Amino acid sequence: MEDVWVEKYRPVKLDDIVGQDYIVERLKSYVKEKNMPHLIFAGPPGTGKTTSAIALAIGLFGENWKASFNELNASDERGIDTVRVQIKDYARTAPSNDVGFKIIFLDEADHLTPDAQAALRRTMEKFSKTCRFILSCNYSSRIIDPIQSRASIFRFKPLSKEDISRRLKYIAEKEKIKLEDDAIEAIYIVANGDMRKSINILQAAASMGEKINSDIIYKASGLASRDVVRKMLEKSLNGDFLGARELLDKMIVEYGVAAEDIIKQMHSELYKISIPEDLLVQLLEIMADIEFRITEGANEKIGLDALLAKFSNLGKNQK
Amino acid sequence: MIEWAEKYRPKSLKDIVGNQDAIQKIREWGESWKSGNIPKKKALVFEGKPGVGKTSTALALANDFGWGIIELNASDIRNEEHIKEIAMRGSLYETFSDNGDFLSSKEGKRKLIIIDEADNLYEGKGDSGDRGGRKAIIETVKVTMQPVILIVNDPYELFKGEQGQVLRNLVEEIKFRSLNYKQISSSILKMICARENIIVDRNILDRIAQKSGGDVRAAINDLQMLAQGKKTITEKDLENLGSRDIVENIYSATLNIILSMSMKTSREVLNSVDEDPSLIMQWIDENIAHEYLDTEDLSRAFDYISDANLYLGRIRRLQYYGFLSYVYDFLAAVSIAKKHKYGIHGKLNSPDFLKAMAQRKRSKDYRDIISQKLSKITHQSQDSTNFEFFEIFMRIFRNDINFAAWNTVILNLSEEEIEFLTGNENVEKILEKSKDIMKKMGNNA
Repeated sequence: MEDVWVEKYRPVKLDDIVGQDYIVERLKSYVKEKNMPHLIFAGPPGTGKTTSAIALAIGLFGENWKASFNELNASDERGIDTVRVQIKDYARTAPSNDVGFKIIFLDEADHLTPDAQAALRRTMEKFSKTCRFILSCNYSSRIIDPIQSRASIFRFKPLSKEDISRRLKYIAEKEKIKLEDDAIEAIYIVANGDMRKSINILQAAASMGEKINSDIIYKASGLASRDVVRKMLEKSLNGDFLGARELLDKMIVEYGVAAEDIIKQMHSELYKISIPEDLLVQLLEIMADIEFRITEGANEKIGLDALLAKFSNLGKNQK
Repeated sequence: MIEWAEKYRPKSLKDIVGNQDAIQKIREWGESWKSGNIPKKKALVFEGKPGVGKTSTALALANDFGWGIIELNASDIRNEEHIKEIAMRGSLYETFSDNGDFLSSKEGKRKLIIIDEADNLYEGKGDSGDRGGRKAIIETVKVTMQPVILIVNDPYELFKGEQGQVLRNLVEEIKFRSLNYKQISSSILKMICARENIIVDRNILDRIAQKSGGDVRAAINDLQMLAQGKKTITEKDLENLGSRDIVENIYSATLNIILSMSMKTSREVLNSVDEDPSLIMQWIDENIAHEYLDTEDLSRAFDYISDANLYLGRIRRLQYYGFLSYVYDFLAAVSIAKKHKYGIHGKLNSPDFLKAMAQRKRSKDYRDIISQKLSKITHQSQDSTNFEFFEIFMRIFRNDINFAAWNTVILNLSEEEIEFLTGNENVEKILEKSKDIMKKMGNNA
């Protein structure tokens, strides 16, 4: 076991993609016709958006697909300049294949600012002869209307338990690991229909022990800092300062997560847990104040501790 | 009193303990200067933690080859002017050594220019800062006719940014690894005890060495402290190690603040201890929650701690020490943040955590760099990779050497990045395996 499994077992043929039959059929017809419109792939993480885009490119362009396929991540290269310069430069040059166009795959396109999307729209139109776009996003509603109306939208569904289970068993067989039934169940509970998360958890669990059962899966699933942040938040809102701080220390010392990243994640997790909205706004006020203090203060750890102390107090009073 | 760490500094490369590969490379580099040819890389960068022998090696090299020395370290002001004046001039002319001996390069005589703590150059900060110091180092390395050695703890600082990359291409990096405690104990401490006629059990030397965490200088200093005015060291002496006065002061100040119900009393105690306020703040931060059980009190206490922290930050940034008394005020105010009198306190914990954190201050940089590399193979954004995949990757990397070696190759991980991922374990094994993989790939290609 050497590679990252998500990559090792990423399907390369459209036929191997599971759980999205309707979409796969349509994409195959594009390959057959050697033509395609601009596409929007919308759906939750780990449902096959990137995989489908790559498999489509391989279908269209064959072995040298990489020369005609440019993958950009909108949340890494946000902003209007990226669209103006990088995308335009790529889009305007002639394709080096016999299909007649190339593909730009813009991942997390819903992270592009509306301005950048507007600029993108013009580029999509102007160079559509030589370049087709695939925009991937979690919610198509965050893509501006003019782009939506110029593209075919595909909605990816969360994968079923059967699909996930079959794939995990296949990987386990190839990697010669013992996967118990309750482990598959546990993976489905923590990862839902997210194939990427499922496989990542499986690989982490496989590196931790011989036999993989639900215990190991739960251990492995709590690794990602996003999950730890959620747990820390829950503890502090239960008034358990010391418990929350233990998790904080672990993240900082053992995993080297930066203070600003922890706050960033706390912010997004706050919207996901169920708390009254007036408490939410109070917590956000505290957070804003602390984050400001961290930028000015001497020691960021003190800021985070103060944040947890105040969360503990507010959470306790709410109960 | 002579410090033993100085007294027993190795005089020759052959006396250096550990890091033999590195020493061999350095010796060869020295030979090529001696032969009259200027080697391709005119500068070496010695990289490694404190007390692993970087400076000693540089000095021993000069001694073995009979070279003069020009040394610059952090205590000198090292702005562009200063480096140019001393290092550049020294590097261009073959003249006299610091002692006035004539050095002819025809006879293989050289002047070794040592720039110590080269990762502590402050670029463009204030008038007394090391403004443009790195630029001057690059210039020096480019034009030098003399051997140059740069010494750093953290190569990342030296090589970051565009200028850093330019510098990296001009030099050869030599990594110094920490010695293990056996090496320190049996090769160094034992020798010193023999020469100083001190009777001591091997087991005790082992413990001193273990405590040093690979820092030879620290181990020798501890040994010297324990041996002060004695001819034997016993188990009992060992207990004194590490609990120096400073800790006692801070300990009692912290305890006072946590227990007292009066701000004025606490303020007086703070006045009298005269210790680093940021250290006291860290002690309070570490221990307060074990005493202030009511979250109401705890939350108020952290308001004040956070105020103190804020003003400490402002002092640092503005270099305005007038704020210091407010820092003490806010720390003292922690006493009156509580509405209950608890009196529970057990033994206070030392905020070792913060020390550990300080050592990992670069962790964000490493995480970001590795996440960026990873995101290329996971087809995810850097943020998603960082928040959803990083720990999983890190865990597999630690658990599985084959995985680690293979990903070292595909992600082109540096030694520091591997150290960060594994927490410093198995680094050499991973590097070795990854070299094997590269060889195989080369053969197949």
